[in-house]
Amino acid sequence: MMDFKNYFELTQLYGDYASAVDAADWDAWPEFFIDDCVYKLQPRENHERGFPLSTLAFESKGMLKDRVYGIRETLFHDPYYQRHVVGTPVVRKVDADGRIHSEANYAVFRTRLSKESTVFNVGRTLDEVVRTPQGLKFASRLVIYDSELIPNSLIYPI
Amino acid sequence: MLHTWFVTFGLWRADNKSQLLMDTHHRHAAMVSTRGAAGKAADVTQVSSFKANMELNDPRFLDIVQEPWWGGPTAVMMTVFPSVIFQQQVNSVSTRHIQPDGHGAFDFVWTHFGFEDDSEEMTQRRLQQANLFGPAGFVSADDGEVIEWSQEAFETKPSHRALVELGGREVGDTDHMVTETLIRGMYEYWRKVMEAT
Repeated sequence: MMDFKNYFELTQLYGDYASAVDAADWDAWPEFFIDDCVYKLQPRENHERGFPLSTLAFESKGMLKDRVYGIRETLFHDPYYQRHVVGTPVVRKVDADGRIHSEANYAVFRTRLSKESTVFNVGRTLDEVVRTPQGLKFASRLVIYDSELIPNSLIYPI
Repeated sequence: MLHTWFVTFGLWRADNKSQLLMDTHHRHAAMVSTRGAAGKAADVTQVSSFKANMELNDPRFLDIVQEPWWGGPTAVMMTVFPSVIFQQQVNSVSTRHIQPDGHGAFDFVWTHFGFEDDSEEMTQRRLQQANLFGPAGFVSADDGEVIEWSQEAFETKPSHRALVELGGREVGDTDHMVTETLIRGMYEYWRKVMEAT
């Protein structure tokens, strides 16, 4: 289905993504996606019942850039660290054109200034990854979270 | 200070017409506003964060289509005593339900909806505009942040009292939003009910 080199690149993509959003490198975040991409953050309850409502639903790289602007300039919030622990990606399928369908479990911890670290958001990502001249990129990333009760607000991308 | 996103992208402007209305007991209320269509940046410079040239990379977040049932206003937030908000913000329609969870905490449950006769295009538009609201919304996320700070501040001195006196100490309908009159009205009614039992 997939050779070691490609699988290594895929695990690097997952790792680099987590490292960028944990480092608050917001300029890097949209660049993990192709222009015509989908990024959704959706509670598991809605996903499993086939309801379309998502907590965040972005359908282009432009929308991701607009979120970055919001994080930096308009969303008034108490800053926090987030730390992703991401499981090894499972490859479900590779299409004839090379598109990879993969998924991974994740847990995100949140740490506010001078406070203890708490479990912030837990779930799995359902991903479609394609090869571009710049390497592997997400064509689609559905972040499906089990923790339906968001502790007040969610500012940064998971 | 709050909801800078609305201001930055021209949805809230100094030339918006707005009204705060209450029922005779002051328990239910509506915050009604109508987006100002005309005017350039120079006319709204009293709003310091208004940026006339700010544009979204993807304009679908604000692909607003007027609907006949609005009857004019672009946003109506209706608060129904004691714990539900019916919200129409341009094409996004939702309820927010406050569910108390013991002392000092509550769950805030958002339910977005559409109408049976919505076209597929309108359903997609409502889903897109839902990005503005909810716990991660461009507009709503900072509500929760600021309410949490307020609660933390109240709790630092339990023997003290917090006053909401923006716009005075009276309760009454207004033709602007720079007032906490609706909060005073709601608590005035709440106190009346609590002391009657």
